[in-house]
Amino acid sequence: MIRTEQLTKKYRKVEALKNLNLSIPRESVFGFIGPNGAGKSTTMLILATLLKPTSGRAWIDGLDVVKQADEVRRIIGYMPDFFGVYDNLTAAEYLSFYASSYGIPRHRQKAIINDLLELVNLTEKRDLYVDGLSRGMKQRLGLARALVHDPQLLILDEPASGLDPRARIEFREILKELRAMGKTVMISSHILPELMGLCDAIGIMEQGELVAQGDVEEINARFKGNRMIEIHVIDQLEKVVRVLEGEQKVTSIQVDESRRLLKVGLNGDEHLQVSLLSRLVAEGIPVFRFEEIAVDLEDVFLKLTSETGGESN
Amino acid sequence: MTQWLRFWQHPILDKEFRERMRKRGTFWGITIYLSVIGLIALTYFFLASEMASSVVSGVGEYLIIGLFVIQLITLALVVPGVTAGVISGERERQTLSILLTTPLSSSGIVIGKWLSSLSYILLLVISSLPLYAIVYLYGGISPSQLIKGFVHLFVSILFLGSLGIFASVVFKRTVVSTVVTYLAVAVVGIGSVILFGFWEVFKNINSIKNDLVSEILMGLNPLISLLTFLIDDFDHLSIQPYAVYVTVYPCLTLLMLLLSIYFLSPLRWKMWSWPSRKKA
Ligand SMILES: Nc1ncnc2c1ncn2[C@@H]1O[C@H](COP(=O)(O)OP(=O)(O)OP(=O)(O)O)[C@@H](O)[C@H]1O
Ligand SMILES: [Mg+2]
Repeated sequence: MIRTEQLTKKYRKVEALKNLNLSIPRESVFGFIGPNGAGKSTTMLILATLLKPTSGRAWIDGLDVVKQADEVRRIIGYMPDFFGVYDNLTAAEYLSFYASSYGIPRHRQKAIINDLLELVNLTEKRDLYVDGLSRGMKQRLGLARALVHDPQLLILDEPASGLDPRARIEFREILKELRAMGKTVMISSHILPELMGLCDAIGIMEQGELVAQGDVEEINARFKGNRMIEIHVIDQLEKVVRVLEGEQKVTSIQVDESRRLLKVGLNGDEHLQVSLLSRLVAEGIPVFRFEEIAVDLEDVFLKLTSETGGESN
Repeated sequence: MTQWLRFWQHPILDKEFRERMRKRGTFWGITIYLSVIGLIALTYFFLASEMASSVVSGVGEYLIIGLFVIQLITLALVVPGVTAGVISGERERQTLSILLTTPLSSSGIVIGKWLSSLSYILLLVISSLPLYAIVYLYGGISPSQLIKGFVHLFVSILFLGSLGIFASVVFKRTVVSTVVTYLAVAVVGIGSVILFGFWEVFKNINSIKNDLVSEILMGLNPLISLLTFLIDDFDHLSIQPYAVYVTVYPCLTLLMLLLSIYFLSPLRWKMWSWPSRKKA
């Protein structure tokens, strides 16, 4: 659906985007992650036909975003990181204006607008002036607006910024619905857990470069020590530590003596876990709990961006 | 006919009309405009008829000239105020980028905004028509002069509108755009007079006979070109300043609009190195 080739953007001297090669398949949700100034918005502006790349090319559904901008505009819905609304229009009129601008005839607009308002839970606010909506409602109205022409691809630039936790969850639910509707979604954020359960794949940007791209799990697995095991034993804590220290693929060991609990970092997959467990049991260690614990994507992210010497934080 | 109907349903026009009609300022704008025009005109009528009471036949002419001049000057003050914020205002409200991702091309946006502002201005002019009707009853002016007068006003409005739009495309902030538009209006209004003065001096020094340049310069000034066809003393000129005015300014209007469309388009073929600073 989206493909970029050596995409580069320079603002005067600042190189905001360096030879970006990106590929996002149809009907997937792609999370675009990176710290401030990584170049996420720049990429999205180019894809939304609002910014001309310095060099390189980008295609949406096979259409060149520079040369075929008009066609591209019809198949994308773009939601900028900051956007305003027309205060003295009602929510329905606001959507109707954009529907008309996509050439949707009036008699078809009513049904579309009702559906969209329903989708973003703003049905009751239909005839309220946009001025009177809260930040979160405006954000949802903005999403409805981006959907008014039923685009195949949604480009959402930090849609959840400035929303409270509940509004974030609501927003996420809407996005899940969109995914179920078969839309391709590209969504940016610097808050990782926000994208975790939502995205099929993520790309991590750092200073204009894509430092990692792939499935959420794949990215997770790519970084050492990101598999964490909790081992609970009845006793023989020292022996466990001795055994584990002999293992090559164990990257870290934390011991909680009072609770007889060990947190072990592993660089490996399920097979490694199996062999580790059978080894401990063979040594006669009374293991009563052996469990993988979820690693926060946030940790992966921080690790990743600091490894590449990023300016994060 | 259907074409024409479809045109008025252009989403930008529809939206602008809706927004403008809901702004409380719109009603007051019309009221204040009419009061000001009416007040000045009535004062002027009063003074002119006092002075001209001895030469009764000239009153009508004075009155209509006065009315056109007042209207032109007022429009020169009002039109920039109405148009100089239409694009920069969208930018300031952060609605412009969304607008640019819709299939409304930058030409649709520019023309739509231009026309909707002009409709508002035309509403002002039309609501002042009764004043003209009163004056016309005094006589002293031919129907063709009256029509020429309105064509002149119309051309001026189109031009002033395009000037305001152009400034609001080029400058990021409405304040800057408005100031620049007023400056440009001042240059058009006063600059051509200064140029005319310089030319006259130059002409006298070098004893040039040809008067073509001064006639063109007269035609470039909105006020002078207006006066020349309302006052009969200018019949001897080889080029009518009025003709110059109604050819040059529509061309300038077109140029302004084309430039606006060009500069508004985000993917214009050569990125102009205009400061495009974003909020930090
Ligand atoms: N209009 C501009 N003019 C000059 N430099 C710019 C402009 N827009 C962005 N930049 C620079 O380009 C780089 C990338 O910016 P961009 O907005 O794409 O980052 P981002 O990943 O969206 O960051 P954030 O998380 O803060 O939104 C930054 O270094 C920024 O300073
Ligand atoms: Mg951004």
